[in-house]
Amino acid sequence: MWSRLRKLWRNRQEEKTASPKREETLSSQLEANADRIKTEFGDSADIQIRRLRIGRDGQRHALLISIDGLIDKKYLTEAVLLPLVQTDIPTGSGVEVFQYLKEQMLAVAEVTETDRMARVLMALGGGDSVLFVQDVAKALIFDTKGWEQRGIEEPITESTIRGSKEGFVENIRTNTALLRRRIRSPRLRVEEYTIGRVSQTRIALVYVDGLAEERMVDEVRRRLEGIDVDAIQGSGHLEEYITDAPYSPFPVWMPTERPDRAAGALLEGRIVILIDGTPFQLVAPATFTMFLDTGEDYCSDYLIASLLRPLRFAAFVASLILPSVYVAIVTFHQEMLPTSLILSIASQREGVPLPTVFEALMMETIFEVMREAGVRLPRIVGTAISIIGALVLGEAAIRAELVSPIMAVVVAATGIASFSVPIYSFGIAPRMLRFVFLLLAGSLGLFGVIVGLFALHIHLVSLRSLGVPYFEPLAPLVVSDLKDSLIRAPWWSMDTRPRLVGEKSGSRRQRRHLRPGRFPTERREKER
Amino acid sequence: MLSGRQVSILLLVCLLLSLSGCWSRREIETLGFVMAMGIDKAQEEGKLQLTMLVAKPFALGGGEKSNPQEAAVWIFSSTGDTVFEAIRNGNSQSPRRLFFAHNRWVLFGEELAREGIQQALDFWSRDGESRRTVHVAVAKGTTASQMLQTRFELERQPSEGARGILNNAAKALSTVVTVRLNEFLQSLESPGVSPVASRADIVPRPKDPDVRGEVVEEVIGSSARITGAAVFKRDHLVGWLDQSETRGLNWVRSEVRSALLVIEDPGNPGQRIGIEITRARGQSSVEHVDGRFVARIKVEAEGHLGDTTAFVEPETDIWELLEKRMAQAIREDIYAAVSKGQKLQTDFFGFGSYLYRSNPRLWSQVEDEWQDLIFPTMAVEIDVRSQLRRTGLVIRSDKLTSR
Repeated sequence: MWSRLRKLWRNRQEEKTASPKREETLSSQLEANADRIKTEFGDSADIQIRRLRIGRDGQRHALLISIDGLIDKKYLTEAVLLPLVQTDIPTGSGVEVFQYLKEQMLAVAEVTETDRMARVLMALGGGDSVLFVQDVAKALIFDTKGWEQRGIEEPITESTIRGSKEGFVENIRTNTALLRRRIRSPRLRVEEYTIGRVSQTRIALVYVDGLAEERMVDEVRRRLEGIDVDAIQGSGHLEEYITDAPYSPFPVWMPTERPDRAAGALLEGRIVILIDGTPFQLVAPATFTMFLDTGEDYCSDYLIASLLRPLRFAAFVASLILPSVYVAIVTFHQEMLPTSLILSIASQREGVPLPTVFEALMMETIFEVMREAGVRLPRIVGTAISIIGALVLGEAAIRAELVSPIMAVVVAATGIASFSVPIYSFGIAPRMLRFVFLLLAGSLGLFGVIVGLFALHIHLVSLRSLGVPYFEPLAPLVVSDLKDSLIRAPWWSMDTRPRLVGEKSGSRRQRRHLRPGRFPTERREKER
Repeated sequence: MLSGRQVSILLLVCLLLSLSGCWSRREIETLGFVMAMGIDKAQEEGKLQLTMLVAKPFALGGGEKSNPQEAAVWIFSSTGDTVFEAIRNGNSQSPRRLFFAHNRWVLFGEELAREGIQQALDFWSRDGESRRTVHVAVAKGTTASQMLQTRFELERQPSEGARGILNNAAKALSTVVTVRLNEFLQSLESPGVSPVASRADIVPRPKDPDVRGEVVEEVIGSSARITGAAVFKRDHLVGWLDQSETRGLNWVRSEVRSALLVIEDPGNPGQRIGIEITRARGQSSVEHVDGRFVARIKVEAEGHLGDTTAFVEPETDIWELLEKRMAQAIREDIYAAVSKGQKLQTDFFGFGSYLYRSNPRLWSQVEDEWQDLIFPTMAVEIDVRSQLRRTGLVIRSDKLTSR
């Protein structure tokens, strides 16, 4: 059904974007080209067409076309306009002049020559400038990109205390540079794709040659090449086209804002996809335990990292099933709690009109609404929402005996637990499934919760990310990879690459003698 | 996507789920938590009277909502031919469904206990909701319903108060027996051992004084004292053990966790020394010698000198004397318990069950006359090894020099 829909859609797209034909060539007449471009862009206001007479003698006509706002005007003036107007140009045929301009005169780093209209139109859209010369059916394309962009800032969603403060930005070129700065080896490969018939989004497939499995890279290439749509708007958009599990609430491509994280993944043999226009880049194969890691884990002490990871895992589980376990115990299994606790809960439930499961559903829904309202509003108003929501509403609801205090505690604890899941898109799954579990708990008790957990677990172990099992290294068990799963072993002990990802050159990261107490100098002395 | 066949299988699996599981949703506030329950003979001939203590959650926690003046429990009783019927009848008096999973006590009135409690116990072993960890006790000289109306200091729930006293006394004194329903039923069923249960007496409750000693509350209620043990023969109550007899039983059963023995000071006649027992172990065996049965009880006890009413300077000879007297005190406890058991003709030590395990063939010959003939006349050898380890923070008593 899905593929049929997609085919239908694709056919419609092809009708729409029929012009210009790939074969259409340029004219040797300047005005003909100018008119063609004008009609293509529909007389858009930001098209700038500069008519020139080049050379000091001003004999030859030329056209310089660019799109305002996408180009660096100062650079265009200095590198292209000034030499064109102020220097002598040898006389000759149009083609000779054209060659001279291209090869000797213009001080621009990247100049390409083309005779295709489609190529010219694309270049203009991408922020390049195009020069036409009288009597020549070709155009010169200069790389004059230069637009307003955000500088490199600290990543907002994945901040660390001790780690790097650099985050990806919206510009793909800056992002490839951020990766190159971390992996200087020439084995770092950046393959660029342009995807989206209309948006012409630049996408880069990045991997380290010799570390990444070739079949995996081929598979990603195949998936990227298979995309034929109008536009790619960001990493979430692209992810839906290339994911292994289109129906799962769990992401199998890990979005990250941190170049150090992406670089770390590359060094393990993983693949990174950079998308122009978003600071969130995609990493795969991504496994369950990766989503519970933070950048902090790798740059702080391994002991605390190993303690925090199980804690985060527990928080993840709590954010999934804490309210449902509470509901199940209070409405089905009152014998399971210590007497004093059950009496205390009973005394708090006294006078609450709603059944526990509806009380929980209501509170969770209100919590989601508050969260949604707080996220969308400007930051200053957002705080007001949380004060009104949490303090006023919560307190009043408890006083009015609409909800029991312990339910407020459970919902708040669940909310806090859900915030400790480091990757936002991963925290979404428990957020949604929580409601499913609540319904199961309200109808079947703990039995329902267990059934739900079983179903969820079956789903999770059947997921794959680029062919790597989602629960690796836990299921299938890969003993050597447990060092970087729910714990983070000391760096000197992690001497193999992840087996299913970087098996290819699994040999070594650290020499054995780098382990504590065996420093190279010491050893040499002993040998002497 | 999914084919019709797959969808129908999925639906079938979902339907299967509803066949199993816990389809018995009950909101917590619709439950009446029974905290203790007493069983007596009803006035009507042949019927049982059940007295139930139901917790009032709104009178407990909840901070501002709670009212400290309000009683934390509601007491009511109902009757029936069987325990189950009485419980069901009780539901006609209670606006909330009676819930037994948090029940702490099953208390029997003395009159019923003397006639036998088999019929009253059956329900507790069948029912899945109540636990086998409830404590079993007998109210001495009164009915269970009277006993359940007593109050305790510090705890608003009488069931918790009684449990606190039981645990505390078991840890500090070992003059009580802690019997859970499971053990009671087991010893009722196994050959060669008679069950015991906790014993509860009603004592007058002192007036409530404030800190200056002035009486705040004039009404004198009653409180329960839990000490000693109730002794059964089969399912009939036959007698009571006092504190030292109960301790004697605990020495043999190796259930003394800590105790305080008071012995006479060997150096100063008439003065007393308190010895805290820190570790004790008891073992018993039964041997058949020359046609007679002999029970051998071996107890090892360790203790330290807790306090004294006179001056004690621990020298070797005094120390040995102290240890001897300590052993003697333990021996006296055990003698008292054994002779009480022989008098009542009930083997609550379980000597018979030891014989059953070590020599089943011999046991099957004597099984029928064990309780009535053999046990009451059998010889008992008691071997106590006692050791005094420490004297506390000082070695000898502080001497009053200004005398």
